[in-house]
Amino acid sequence: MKYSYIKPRRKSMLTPEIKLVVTFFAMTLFMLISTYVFLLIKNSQFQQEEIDIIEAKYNIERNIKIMEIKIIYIEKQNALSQKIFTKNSVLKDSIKNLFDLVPQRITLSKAELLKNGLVLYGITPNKDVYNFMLHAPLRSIFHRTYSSFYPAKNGWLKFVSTNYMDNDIEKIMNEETNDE
Amino acid sequence: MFNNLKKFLYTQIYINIIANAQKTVIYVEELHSNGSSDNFEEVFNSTQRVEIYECIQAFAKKSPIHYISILDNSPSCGAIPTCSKEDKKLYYNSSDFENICTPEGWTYYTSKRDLLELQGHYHKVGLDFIFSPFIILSNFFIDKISNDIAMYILINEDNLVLSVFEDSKLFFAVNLDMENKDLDSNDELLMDIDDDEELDLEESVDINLENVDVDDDVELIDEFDDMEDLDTFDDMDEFSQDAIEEDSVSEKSSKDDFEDQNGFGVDYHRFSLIQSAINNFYQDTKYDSKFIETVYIADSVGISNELKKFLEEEMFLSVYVRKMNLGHELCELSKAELR
Repeated sequence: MKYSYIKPRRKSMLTPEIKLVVTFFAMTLFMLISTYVFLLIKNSQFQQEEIDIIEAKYNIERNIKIMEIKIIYIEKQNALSQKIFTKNSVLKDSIKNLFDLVPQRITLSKAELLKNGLVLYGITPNKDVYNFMLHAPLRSIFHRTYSSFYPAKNGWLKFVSTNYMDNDIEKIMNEETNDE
Repeated sequence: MFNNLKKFLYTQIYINIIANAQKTVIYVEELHSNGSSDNFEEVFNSTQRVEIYECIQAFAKKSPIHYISILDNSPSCGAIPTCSKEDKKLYYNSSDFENICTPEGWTYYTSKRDLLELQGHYHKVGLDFIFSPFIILSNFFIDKISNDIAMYILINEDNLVLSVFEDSKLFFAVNLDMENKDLDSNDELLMDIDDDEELDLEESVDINLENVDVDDDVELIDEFDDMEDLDTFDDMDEFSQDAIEEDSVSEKSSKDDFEDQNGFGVDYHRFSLIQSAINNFYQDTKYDSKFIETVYIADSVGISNELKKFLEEEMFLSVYVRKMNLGHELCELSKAELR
């Protein structure tokens, strides 16, 4: 019930001492929360960095595998190139030997190197020179040798010498045998 | 919940001020959170305003939960037996007065100007409650006012608060200032009592006790000691006439001596005021008057037995005196207000 003519003043709980204590605790709490938030953010950052590092590691590992594959490929290519180089060397030697085979009296106008054969075009003074000086060494190298002549305008003979190695024939023969 | 927390954290301090013309009493009650309480009472000369403020501030600083209450002793305070706005106009100008209506259907009021003056006087410490002496009186005799008609009087240093209740209904209330010399109605009362007796109460009541020179008229004091033996007002009349004729040169010293020797003079003055008030109650048509047989007195100052005898023997009233600690009553009212 209302007895007094006036209303009581508002009573605040915050005395200067209480304000000091509350301020102190508020600051302490604020610092604790700030530290917690700071650690939380840092932890989150570290976790993100960890994820990035794991991803980078995965990428690197994948790249390593790719590179290993490439290395293997390059090694194979290297081996292939070595093989080609060897083959080329052999071919070079063969061509050199071929040209060494051709005597000075016979002039080659064209040479076709086939996979397992050799076609030579040229001019010879006569058949004998060709047969003795070129045909004989060719026959010793190739399994089959075919020669055809036709006269040139200066009285010499133009020739076409077709020479084959028999590897394909053997393969065909073998395949036919297997089929049977 | 918030209030309970406040109570748990802080001691509640109720500072109660009873300011009279001569002295100011500061009654303090401290309610601790563990349920225990401490009481303090300091009495100051009312002129020691700085000391009074320092005392109040010293207690107020102990806890933020402190309430400062003061008793409204202003002469303008009063009570009327109605809550109706229309009826209030018969008693006072409602725009100038602050009033509170009680659930029992009566209103106590005081001047807004006096309230502001009181708040201004204590603006350094601030006030939370200003209580009317009428509500204190009715609360003090809460167990009696619901009975048959009786007069209830709160005796304070500077004033008498008088009210008449029956079945918790207020019939009459008046605040009598001890310094007030305007007692026009006294003669009417006494003439009513016994017209045949050669009474001249006007003169007897108009005595300014401060003017009585006791040193110069010791025999007169002896007559006052035998006041209880007075059967008529003749002797009083004689006394008053003699007193008025005294030389005014030594009035100050005589006043002090008079008060020191015996308080019955003051009590007689109170008796006179009560008489006049009762007369006013019987005569004034505004009040629904009934015959009063019983008087309950709340004594906050320590009256002598003389007043009771005056009332019993001169007015044939049944008088009951109950000691009152006004500060404590203010404190209880503050607590009740906060509940």
